[in-house]
Amino acid sequence: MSTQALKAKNWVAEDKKKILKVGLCGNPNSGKSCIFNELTGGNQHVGNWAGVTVEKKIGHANFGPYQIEFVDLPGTYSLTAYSMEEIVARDYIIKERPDVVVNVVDSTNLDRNLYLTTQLIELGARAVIALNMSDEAEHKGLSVDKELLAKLLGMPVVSMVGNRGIGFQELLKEIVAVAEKEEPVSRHLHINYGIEVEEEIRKIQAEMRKDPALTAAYSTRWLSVKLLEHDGSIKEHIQKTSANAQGILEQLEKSHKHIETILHEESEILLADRRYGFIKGLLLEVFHEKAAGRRSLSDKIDKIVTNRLLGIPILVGFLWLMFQTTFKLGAYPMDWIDSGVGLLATFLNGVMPEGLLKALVVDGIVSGVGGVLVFLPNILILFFFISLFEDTGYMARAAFIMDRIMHTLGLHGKSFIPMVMGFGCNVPAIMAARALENKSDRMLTILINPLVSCSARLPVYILLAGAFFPQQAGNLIFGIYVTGLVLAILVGQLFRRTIFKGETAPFVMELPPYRWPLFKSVMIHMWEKGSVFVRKVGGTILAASVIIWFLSAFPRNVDYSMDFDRAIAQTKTRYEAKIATSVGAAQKRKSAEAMMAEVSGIKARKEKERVSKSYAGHLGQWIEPVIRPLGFDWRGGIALITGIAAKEIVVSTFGVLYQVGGDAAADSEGLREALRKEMTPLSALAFMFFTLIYIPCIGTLGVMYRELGSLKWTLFAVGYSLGLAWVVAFLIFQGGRFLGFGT
Amino acid sequence: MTLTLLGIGEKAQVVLLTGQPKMRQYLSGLGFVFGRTVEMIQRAVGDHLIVGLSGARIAIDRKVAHHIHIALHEGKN
Repeated sequence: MSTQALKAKNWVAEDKKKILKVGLCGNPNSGKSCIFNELTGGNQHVGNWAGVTVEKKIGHANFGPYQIEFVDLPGTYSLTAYSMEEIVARDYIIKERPDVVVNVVDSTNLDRNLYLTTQLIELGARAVIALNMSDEAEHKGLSVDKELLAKLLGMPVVSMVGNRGIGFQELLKEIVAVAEKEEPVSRHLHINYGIEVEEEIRKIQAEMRKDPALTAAYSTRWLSVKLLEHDGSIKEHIQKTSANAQGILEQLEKSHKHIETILHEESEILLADRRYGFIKGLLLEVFHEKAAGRRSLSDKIDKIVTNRLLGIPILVGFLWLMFQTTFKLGAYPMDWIDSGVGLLATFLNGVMPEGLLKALVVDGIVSGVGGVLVFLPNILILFFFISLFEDTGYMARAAFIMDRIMHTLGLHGKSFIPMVMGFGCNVPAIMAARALENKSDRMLTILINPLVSCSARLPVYILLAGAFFPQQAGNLIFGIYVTGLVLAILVGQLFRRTIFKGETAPFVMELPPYRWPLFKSVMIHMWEKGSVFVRKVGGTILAASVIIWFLSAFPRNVDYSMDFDRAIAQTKTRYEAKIATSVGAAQKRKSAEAMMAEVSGIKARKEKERVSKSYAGHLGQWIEPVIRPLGFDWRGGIALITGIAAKEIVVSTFGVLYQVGGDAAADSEGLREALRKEMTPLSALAFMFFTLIYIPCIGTLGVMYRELGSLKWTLFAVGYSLGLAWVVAFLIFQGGRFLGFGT
Repeated sequence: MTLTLLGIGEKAQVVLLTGQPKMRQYLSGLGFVFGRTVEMIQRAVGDHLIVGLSGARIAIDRKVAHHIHIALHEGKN
């Protein structure tokens, strides 16, 4: 289409714009996401594909009289049914019938990238080829005859450099031209699979044509090819929906036998071979390579980074750097947010009228949500590193290096990344388990992930270890982290042998060449992950904070064992008389301070009694018999129940229950003193381990439910973690007592 | 012989894939097909391999490598 025509159409009013649907597909590492981001700018939203946990990104772009909706399909090598990603990508193309499919192709890796293109040809998709990274190809001395390639593929071809903004105008023009069927090069072609195979395809097609419903919905040629490739999901679809399923599958059986006896080759391998043959022939005509010496730097880095001896120490070094920065650097903004939340609470305390609403907002929402928001800097820094590792290409190496070790633990190399991320927060860690193709590997990785001690549990350890084991606090906390990892491994082994029997999926993964990270794209990736945390956890934490506040704030009218208000009034009158009679400012001030101390003491006793008679208090007393053998009383019970909302809430609950006011910090000496009176070192130790292991927080449970896609498995995670926590705490407390450590 | 026996820097041609159909299909998608040249780049941590396959680098564990059968290269690349 000419620019003239485009300009003429530009006059169309905004609401009369024509909508085009465009799917973006391509191999992993082809630079597809970069092109998608550039095309849609900030104008995109992230969701999930229906029924599966594969991320779905949709964005929009305006171009002349068109509004184009882009869908970023998952990166795949092929459109078989190997992984959820492949199924999602191909279902989109078949069922949603986009106007155009843009196939992003890495120009430096044409022969492998065009394999996906052959599958698009088979599907009969109307496509545009985006030859991405054409600058790198040029640099390496590779040249492609674009016009000829377009003619041979029957699809227009556009040269692009996604990360430098080159080729986008032409790409949009071609998308419109193909959608409007004004592109002369577009045509439908078949890949020739050779006389014998073609003969069998025709026979299967003939059976399919006996079922008009099937013929109307799909290309029979594509279905036949898929069936010959042993595609399970297509076979199932035909079995379930086709009137002539029997005829088709009988013919398929015959065709398989025929092909294997004549050609001595499994049909799916044969078809793949023929597709590569097609590509090879194509490239012979259009592709020219001048110089050698490719990838040498990348290989040199790999020689060191994946070295048998150096690989693991280097990885450990990077992780150490990541954690140090996350916690050391993150401490500063953490303090700012903390004091910001404090200021907000003080401000609201001042301006809001006394009453339930104020209590709800200040004690419930601000302290609950604020308590979690504090971890945002940590999480963003952690994600910054993870995005950096991903964008440079190191993450693929990390999974590769760890695969052998993870295998001996019954896990997969790709499980390593979620485990590491779990130290920051289990929510994004569980989402990272999506990288695992094999379903049982993925489920196992998700189920054991909460045993990796997240940063929210740290305040609890700091409080209790500081109160009871001040000399050994550092070592003890380190020991708790290690225990979490060891338990994750043991539980993983146990589940692998009992529930998820069978082999871990083999490790095969493309290693992208190392690339310099682009600051902008690292930031975008960091924010993509971080904002998910804010949105998803923000919602649950908000709801949970309100519920917990409600449980500990109601019922309002409690029968107190004594009249606290009168006691307060009496104390005040007593001191006021004393102040009035005392001489000198110093004297007066001393008396006033004594009065304040006594009054707040009474108020705290009143608060303690009120909480013990609140719904939360009843709940705590109700579960007390179960946790007694672990050395916890009803207050420990309440703290643990409230900790389900977010584990750091355990600390603030202790603050409320041990009479030091709701805003006690973990380092408050008053709280530590109070704890020492009520708990023994042994019960504190048991409590820390219980906190490590028991029920994941609500945010984690929410994301587990979403990622596992099953309530049953989510409840299973709750059950096993509770049971394990109880057993471990019991062994520590009763075992310790038996050995004579304190009572 | 299988891919595991290839020395570093040596090249060979893929002749046969064995094992599960799903895995074979995945390997074909990655480019392990009859006649393709593979090059051994690196023997890495845990005896995993990195092989070169038409410009790309594929990391692969020994078990999978055992299912990729090769014939030593003759003549030029």
